[in-house]
This record gives sequence, structure tokens and C-alpha cells, in this order.
Amino acid sequence: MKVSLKWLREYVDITLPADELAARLTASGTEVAGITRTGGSWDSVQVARITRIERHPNADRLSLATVDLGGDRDRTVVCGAPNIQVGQKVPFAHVGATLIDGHTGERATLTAARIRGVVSEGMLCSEKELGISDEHQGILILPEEAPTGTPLEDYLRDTILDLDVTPNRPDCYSLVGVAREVAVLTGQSLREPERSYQEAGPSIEGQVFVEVADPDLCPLRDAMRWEELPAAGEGAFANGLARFARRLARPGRQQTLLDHPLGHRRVCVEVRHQTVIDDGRHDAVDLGVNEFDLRL
Amino acid sequence: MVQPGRLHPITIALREMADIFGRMDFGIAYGPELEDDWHNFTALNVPEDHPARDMQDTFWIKGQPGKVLRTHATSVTMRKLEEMAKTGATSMRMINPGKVFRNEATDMTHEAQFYQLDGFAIGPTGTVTLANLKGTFDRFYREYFGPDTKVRFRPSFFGFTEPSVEVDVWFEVPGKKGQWLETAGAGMFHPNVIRNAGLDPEKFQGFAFGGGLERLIMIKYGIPDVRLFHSGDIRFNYAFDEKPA
Repeated sequence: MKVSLKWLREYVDITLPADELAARLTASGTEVAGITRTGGSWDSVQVARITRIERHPNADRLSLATVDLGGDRDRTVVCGAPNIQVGQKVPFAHVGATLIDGHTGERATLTAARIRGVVSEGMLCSEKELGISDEHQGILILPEEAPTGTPLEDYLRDTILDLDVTPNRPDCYSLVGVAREVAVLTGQSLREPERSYQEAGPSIEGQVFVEVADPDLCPLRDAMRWEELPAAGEGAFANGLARFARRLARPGRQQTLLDHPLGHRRVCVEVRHQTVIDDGRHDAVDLGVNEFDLRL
Repeated sequence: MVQPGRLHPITIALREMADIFGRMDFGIAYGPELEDDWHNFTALNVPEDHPARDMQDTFWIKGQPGKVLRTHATSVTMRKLEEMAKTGATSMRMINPGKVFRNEATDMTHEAQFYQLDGFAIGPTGTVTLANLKGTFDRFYREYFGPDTKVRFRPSFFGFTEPSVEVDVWFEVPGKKGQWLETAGAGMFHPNVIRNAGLDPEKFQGFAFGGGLERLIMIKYGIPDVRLFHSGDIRFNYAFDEKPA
């Protein structure tokens, strides 16, 4: 079973390097068969906070952005992107960083440059330049809580552990179960993940019928009519929905699930998967085009 | 001129291992390679619908339901326990090496047919413990690999043992860094296994173990590819002295 350390962090603090954590899990009986590190190589790229933006004296379409790097002195860069604002967290690449050239698509080392007469001390990066996607219309805006100065690698990267769970440990077939193991093995506490969401819209009372065929096997049940979002509903499905929205939304992008390129039905499937992955619970049945009978 | 024959490296290694275990009073037992489902799985507390069955990919025989190419030599352990129940013996310790079969894709470290060094010890409750298991492996590895080897147990799961362990050996190649290598699975007999043999699990207790035989030879002599053992290449035989070191 593959476990994302980033997602695991929602349940427990990871206080050891991945290799050491893997060794402890293996020694405890759940063997780590492999460790994969995702994300590009973002040496010399940090999370920066924009403190000031000025017009470039010699170019209408360019601006001078000053960024705070946390410990070091502020840097000023020449930037052509239209979407930057003071206060935003953005990726700042130092001279010498290896990135993807936004125009050629090739890997290139960032050199010191004078752009229209002003020295640029580095570069604010788009997703394309970081190798995340082909998005090059603007700078990648990171979430507000991204810590200023953190190496981008540490913030955006993920480490995946591939666990060989033995048949006598079905509790480890879920994130919460693995988090429990990790908490015990590292002396940390398991915590409840954020389960906040807003309910909106009229009550669906009387519109959906729920029947529990076997209360012993299925102690919880949720019903949700999916017509509009934000959704009216409650409980486990909505939790899953909120988690899905948070995890799969692109950093800095405002996007409602209605607009999600995956579409309604696919989003429901993904939400089910999230619940299984997180809590180890099953499962839902698709009744028709826009209705789901969801049993959790 | 007729060339004299040579023993296969597996035969040479097996004789050496049997000698080590023999001096610990272990006998040698053999059993059929074409086994029945009872001795290979069900009697060993691995029922048909249990996920533990998926831990070993099995060769079944067309037209012979209930028959299987044994996936481990522990099937022989079951046969010997059944025998013990019939003869009324109160203790037994055996190694039961032999060829086993698993439906695996072959590569440098995996074969579809290979040898296992399997074994067990059982006696009146309290006389054969997990500590004895550790001691047995400790002794065996120090004699087979050298006096600097160490043994370590890690928790694991097998249907026929509870508790179950993975057995690692600490091995150092001269000039290189030492490392822990996984060599065998083992554990204390699950009460269901003892009961299925016809013995009373309240009165008897013991341990069982099993691991790849070629793997031990590969570790000791630095052989890189398990497929060499069954390739039929006669030059492989000439690399080994007939007498144990």
C-alpha cells in the first residue's frame, strides 16, 4: 500500500527523515518495500513573500518585485507576469538554479541578468519553469500558509512509502492506521484531521431515502443529493468531499468542485476513494446519473 | 576417458547444513513434491479464503483438483507432526529440505522452482521456546557463515506460526560494509497446526522455520544470480570443491 507522507502529516507529525521512519516501520512488522520521492529538483528555490511591486522604469510590461526570503536580505527581481500582488507567497529561484526555460522547454541554469537596464537578482517561477505543468501564463501563487524562506522542495515535494502490510494487520490498510503506527513508533500523538466544511442550501430531508441493510456491518450511513455545490449534506461524505477539495485543488487556485475537470461522477468516485484511503471504510453504490446511494 | 561426476553445489551445501543441524540433534525428513491442499495449506492454518493464501503464488495441476506443487517444505513438517501423533513420540526435531515451486517471474533473485531449508522442533510445552529458535539460528549461521555473523528477528506474519518472525543475518564481506540480509521466515507453531496434526496444543509447543537454500549459498559465496543453480551449465559445478570448507 502506498502512503503519501504529505497526507500522513495531517494525522501525525513526521519527526524523522523518511529513511529512518521506513526502518522503524520495517522493524515493527510493516515492511517498507520502497521509497519514492516526487517533485522536481528545486535546488535554490525558496518560498518568498512579495513585499513591494514597482513599475519597471524602462519597460511598460515589466515590474520590479521585492521579496522577503525569511532569513536573508530581500531580493528584487524583474517580473513580466500579470498576476503578482503584494503579500503573496511565490517561488523565488536564485541565480544558479536549474529550471525549465519557459520559452524553449529545455532545462537551463538561471544566470544573473540585467533586464532593460535593471539587475534581476533571481526569478519568480511559473509552474512550467518548475516542471510541474505547462502553465506559463503567470507566477505560481502558493497558499498563504506556505512558510516564507522554506526550500520549495520541502514544501511542495512528497515522499511516498510503499508498505507491505501483512494479512494480520488490516488496520494498516488506511492512512489513519498507518498514522497510528507512526505515532507509536516515534513517540508522537495521533490527531484528528481537519473536518471542517460549510453546509449550504436547503435541507434534503424527505428528498433522499436511506436504508441500512445490515447495521452491524454498516454502522454509518450518509445520503447526499448532488445537484449543486457547495453541497447540502453531512457527515463522512462531506468530510471526504472537503478533504478531496483541499488536497487535489491546485495551490492558490480557487475552484469549485462543480467546475472540476473530472466532472460530477468522477469527483464522487474520488471522494469515496479518499474516505477508504483515509479511514479504511467502504463504500458507495452509484444508482444513476446524478444520484448516489453512499454507504460508509 | 570417462570423466567422473561431480556433486551439484546444492547437494554439497545441503550436506554441510545437515551436518551442522545434525550436531544439534536434528534428523532429516523428506516428503512429496506433488502435495495435497491439506498438507500444503489447510492443515497449516491457511484456509482457502484467507488472504494468507495470496502470499504464495501456487502451481495447481490441471485435472487434479486438490493437488498442488508444494509452495514450501513446511508440508513435510505437517506430515511428520501427524506421524508423531500416531507413534506417540513426545518430541521431534527435523530439517526437511527440498524442492519447492512458486509461480514467480524469474530474475536474478527469483526462481519458479528452488530449494528450501525448512525445519522444526517440537516438544512438551516449555521445552521448545522462541529463545531456542533464536539460539538454533544463531548457532547455524555462525557455523555456516562465520563467527562474526549475528541474527535478528523482525515481527511478521505466517498462517502457521504465531508469533511469526522474519530472520535476518548480519553478513560482512571482507572489505565491504556489513548488512542485514533477510534469509528465512519462522515462528512458534500456531495451536491450530498442532491440533490439525492430531496433537494437543496445550501439551506441545515448538517452532518451525523455512528459507531459500540457494539464497544462503549465494550469500556465502557471493553468487549474483539464482538462475545459475538450475541453468544446467556444468561449469557452475566446477566452481565448487566437493568437500565442505
